[in-house]
Amino acid sequence: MSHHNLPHHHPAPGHEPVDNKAIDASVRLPVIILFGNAIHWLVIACLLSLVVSIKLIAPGFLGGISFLNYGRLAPMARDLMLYGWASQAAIGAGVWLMARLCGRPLGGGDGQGMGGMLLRTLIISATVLWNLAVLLGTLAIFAGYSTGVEWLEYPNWASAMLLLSFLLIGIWAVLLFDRRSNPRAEVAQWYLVAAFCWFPWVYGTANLLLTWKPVQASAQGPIQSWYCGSLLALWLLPVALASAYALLPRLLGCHMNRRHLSTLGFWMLLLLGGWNGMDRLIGGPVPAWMTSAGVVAGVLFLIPIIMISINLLGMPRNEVIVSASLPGRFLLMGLYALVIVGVIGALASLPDVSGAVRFTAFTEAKTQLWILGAISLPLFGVLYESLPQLLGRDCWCPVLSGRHYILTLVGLGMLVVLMLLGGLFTGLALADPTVSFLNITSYSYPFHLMECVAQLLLLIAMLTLGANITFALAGDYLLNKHNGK
Amino acid sequence: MNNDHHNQHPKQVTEETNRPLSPWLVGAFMLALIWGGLYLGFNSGGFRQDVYESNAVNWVGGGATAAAPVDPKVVGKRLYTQNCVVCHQPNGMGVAGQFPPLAGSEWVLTEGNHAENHLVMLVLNGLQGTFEVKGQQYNNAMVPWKQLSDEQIADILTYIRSDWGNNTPAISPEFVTQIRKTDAAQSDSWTQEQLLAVPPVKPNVTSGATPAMK
Repeated sequence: MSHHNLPHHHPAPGHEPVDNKAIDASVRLPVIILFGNAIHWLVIACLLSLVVSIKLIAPGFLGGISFLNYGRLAPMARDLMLYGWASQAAIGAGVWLMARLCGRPLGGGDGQGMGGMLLRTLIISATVLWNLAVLLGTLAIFAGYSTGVEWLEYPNWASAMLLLSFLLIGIWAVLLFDRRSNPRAEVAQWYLVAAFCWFPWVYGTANLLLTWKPVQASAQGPIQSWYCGSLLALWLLPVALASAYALLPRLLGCHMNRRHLSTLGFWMLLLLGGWNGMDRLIGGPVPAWMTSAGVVAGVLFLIPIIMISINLLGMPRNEVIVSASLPGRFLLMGLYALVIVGVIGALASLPDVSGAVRFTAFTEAKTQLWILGAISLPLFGVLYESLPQLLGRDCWCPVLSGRHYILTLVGLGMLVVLMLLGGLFTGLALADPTVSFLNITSYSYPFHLMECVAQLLLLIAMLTLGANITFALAGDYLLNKHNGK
Repeated sequence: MNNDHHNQHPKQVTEETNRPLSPWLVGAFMLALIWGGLYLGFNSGGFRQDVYESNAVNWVGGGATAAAPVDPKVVGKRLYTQNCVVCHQPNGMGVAGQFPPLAGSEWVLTEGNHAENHLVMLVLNGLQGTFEVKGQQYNNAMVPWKQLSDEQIADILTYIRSDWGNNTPAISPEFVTQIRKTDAAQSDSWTQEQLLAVPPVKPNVTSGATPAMK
């Protein structure tokens, strides 16, 4: 695996960039801890998702136990995916990329002084707090203390812990940007700053208005939709895009295509991202203009996606280099997943389509492709790229890495296609008054059956990744022991 | 390591990456934005907080209009599918020798000495014993459907009187209410003899024959 350094443009006088090795050393431990924890939540989330999808074909499976109900396991799996895995990995990726792109080690100087050590301790403590919040929040849902608000099921104290933990880490990412060595920020840096500012805002606001001090019921629907749209499009997606903007041109050895478009793509993404979820409320008790704005945002969201694609997928690339770079392939696949998600989202937000497929697996397919495709695939890319540089050696087992890549793509592709088709059939059957509800469930049975297979493939993929990173880190430990350190 | 790779060709980077966009794509973006503006304009309900359904109101004048009336035949078909289809079948032909047909049935079409009140009564209380439909004898029981509301029974009857080639006027919920009142004393299911002994009651026809369903 080749180790590309992130270069620094136009260093300002007195702001000479620090060596990449010193930067990596300053963030090594926090980033590895963030990624390691994220992956173990990912494996658990995939296991729970598998159980949840088995329950769709065999409702009696583990049915007699109240805390293993579908209604508890499904939100547990989704929240672990969002906060345990995606958000935590995004923080790790964000911290590493920000330090590298800004050419500054954590804590100033060479990163090894008192400041650096204190900051690392603070960030690691905040990471522990984050994981404690995820663990306790998950257990609270398990025990039946969910708030009942989709994607915000963690009880008040757990969500407050998450927010505090994020602020303790995020502020240093933003301060790093303030001390950057390149006065003219890179595209990836814009996305990172936006993402690190956006998460505390949307998470804090949504929790305040929905669970801490709930507003009147009619206003909760739009707020919740705004939160779901924003969490994906304004926090997780920007980090995934920052990874692609920062790493892809360097990994593939070519220049970004039509750089001027990236500004427009960035601002349109920010403008439309929050409105993106509002089309979920069509026909609901909200003023008509809100849902209509959601429909328009859902369709127009294709424009920033096309601009980003022109920037990154439009690069003239050498297929030999692409096939040799696993991180590069993960990042590219993440971008392709984003394009597909954009097309599906635009179609699904049109009122006629939405009316047919809204309450079916179709919407779930879109969400899965968002989280596991457009967001997780680029995060895998950063993980595969960063760890060898952080550890200073080739740490990945190529066989396991390759298996993880293939299994993830096959499992995800299968899951999404099945859910799209199954959702479409269910939606059309639901709209037909001559078809009884019992018949509809039997139509969707084969799809649910195959979805279990897809979830199983995903679980195996994530177990492979777990084994891979365990060997990578244990290898480091064994190597140190061997060298007598 | 290629730390200075990019710094060597800053000019090339600018030239290479700032080619203009295809005019077709720019045009498509413009069209999408114009569509977005128009869509929002026409479906915004005037950006009023009290307009929830942009299609159902004329927001220029403000204020909501009444919802469109529900077609009893559509509701009736749904209710028929949920309640009646097991015996009388989706095509209204029943099952030979077991369940009588509704299509072309003199009881449904109220021909001869069969009247609308008989039809409503047999649905309310059910049937037992020998029963003749279209010259065929049936010996089976039909369960009472008292638990359905007057409106639901009216919708079902209106539906079965308008599909499968049947073409007779609708039954109103008021008529079902009226028959349910006079019928209140009957506790058992009807036999054919009891039922036909009841004098026929015709509903006050206010509307013409309902057109047959496609």
